[in-house]
Amino acid sequence: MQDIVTLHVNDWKQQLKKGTLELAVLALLKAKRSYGLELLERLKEMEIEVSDGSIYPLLSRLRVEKKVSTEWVDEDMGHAHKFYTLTPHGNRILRGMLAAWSDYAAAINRVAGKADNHE
Amino acid sequence: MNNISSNEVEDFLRRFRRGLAALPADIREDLVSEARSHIQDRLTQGKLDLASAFGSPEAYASRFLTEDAFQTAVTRDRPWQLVSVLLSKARSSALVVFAVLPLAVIEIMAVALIVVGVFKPFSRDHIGLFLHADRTFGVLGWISNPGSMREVLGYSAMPIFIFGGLLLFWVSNRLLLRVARGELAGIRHTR
Repeated sequence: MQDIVTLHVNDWKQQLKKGTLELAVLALLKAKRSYGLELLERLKEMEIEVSDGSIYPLLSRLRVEKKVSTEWVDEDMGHAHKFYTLTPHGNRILRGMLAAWSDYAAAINRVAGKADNHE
Repeated sequence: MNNISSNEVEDFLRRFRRGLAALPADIREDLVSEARSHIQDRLTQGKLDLASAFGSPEAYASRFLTEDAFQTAVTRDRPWQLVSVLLSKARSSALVVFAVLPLAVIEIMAVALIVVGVFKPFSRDHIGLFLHADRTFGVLGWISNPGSMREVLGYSAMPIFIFGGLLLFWVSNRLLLRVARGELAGIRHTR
């Protein structure tokens, strides 16, 4: 029984992560321009595990949508790295996403609070 | 974890590049260079596991291609490209059969209607709305031999067909775009 519960929760967490990964990546890029592996490691530090193969298709899409710009940099790192920078357009979208996330998280917390009270 | 030979890395990158063949050369090389840079970093860290990180190079490449195909189709206003992408990459065959194909057929009919409308002045007796003698519906469009049927629209068939066709085309194309955007969202969410 516990295994089924864990399975369901893990599956739900996966979906949640997929839905919010773009927000997390844009927020990290707002703080600092980064290359793919650096982003993966910064996400991991925040306890958001993403596979190596998942980050680049997302970054590629963000570039096509002009939310980020890219630049190859070859300084002090052994070889060139492709750095991603948040664009003004990406920043506007991030602000909207953060506001929506804040409202939604508050609503879910209210719902979760009600569920806790009935435990 | 890290006993991967440079041959394996090169083989992965070669197959990845081949998988991206449909993309423009500059974008393809950019993605391959980025993958190479990532792999070099992981090798330095001693944390490279190509199979679990990326899956097969072909499957990994297809993630960029599918995304790119849908993205291009919904952002550029090219109806045939949209239909082609939906027919080849839609995740559900039911969606293809019950939405994409009927809408594609409607688009083709709309184009045919526009063409027929344009040719009305050149084929006055063969193009229009034809009714049987008992005034029931016969044919709308072009007919080689009207026989006993009578054309009732006259030259007004020309604007009716052209504007009707344009409207039909626009509506079906909007619906196809909506389907494609739904698919794109679905693809992103299931990865």
